[in-house]
Amino acid sequence: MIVAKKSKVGLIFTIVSILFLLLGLLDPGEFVAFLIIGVVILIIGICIMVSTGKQFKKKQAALERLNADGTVDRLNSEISSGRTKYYKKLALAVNDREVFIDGPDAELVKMEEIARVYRTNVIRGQYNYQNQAIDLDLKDGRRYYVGTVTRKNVPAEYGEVLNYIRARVTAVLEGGI
Amino acid sequence: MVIVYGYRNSLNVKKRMGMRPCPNCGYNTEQAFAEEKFKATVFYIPIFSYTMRRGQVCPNCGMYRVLNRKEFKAEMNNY
Repeated sequence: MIVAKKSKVGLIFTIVSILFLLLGLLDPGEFVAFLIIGVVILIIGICIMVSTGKQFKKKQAALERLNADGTVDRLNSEISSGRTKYYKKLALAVNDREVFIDGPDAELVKMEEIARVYRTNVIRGQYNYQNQAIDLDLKDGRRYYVGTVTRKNVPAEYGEVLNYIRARVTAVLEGGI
Repeated sequence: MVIVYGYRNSLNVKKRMGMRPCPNCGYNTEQAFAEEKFKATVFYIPIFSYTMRRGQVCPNCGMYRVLNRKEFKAEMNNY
């Protein structure tokens, strides 16, 4: 399902830090050590909470924008009926007509807009040694990097999605960038 | 004593091949013979390195046509 969810990682870090601070109170001999560990984990937890909170708000805004004409609701009902496939690991929802890019910068790309689709190791102009992605080049020059995964751990559905989109892209373009 | 160790990767372009279409992305780009190296570092100084892969690489999509050492040298010399 396509929904904006708040990550609980920051909250877990904060709870663990409080546990460490409480352990410090119970054991006065190791108070300083527990205090330092607790404060460090607390700072990390707060940073994660702030960052994930921003991402959540960004995604919520993007989904609201896309749902102005009911697109997200339609996609969600299509996912439950099986007409649209949702790939959680790749953060993609794909059907015959469109590709939905899930994430903070959620976007809907129509198949007819896509000029080229291919696997890439160059993500946003930088050669990436760890990750690979699917590059969607649109006819108007826009470029989306979707389904970013580590090269060592490529999910089984990666090739399936790539071939599915490739089979539905009808545009044939020649020439350089 | 604290020892700062780690690794970094690098892509070394050996020879440019000129413009040609990439079989993966289809763009007409200047492809090159290149090696992807792994370098182990101590205090940010590379201690040793080994070549992870070598071949013909496209600058647009970064895809390799992987070649072994002999093929790589032969193709590079012939080019």
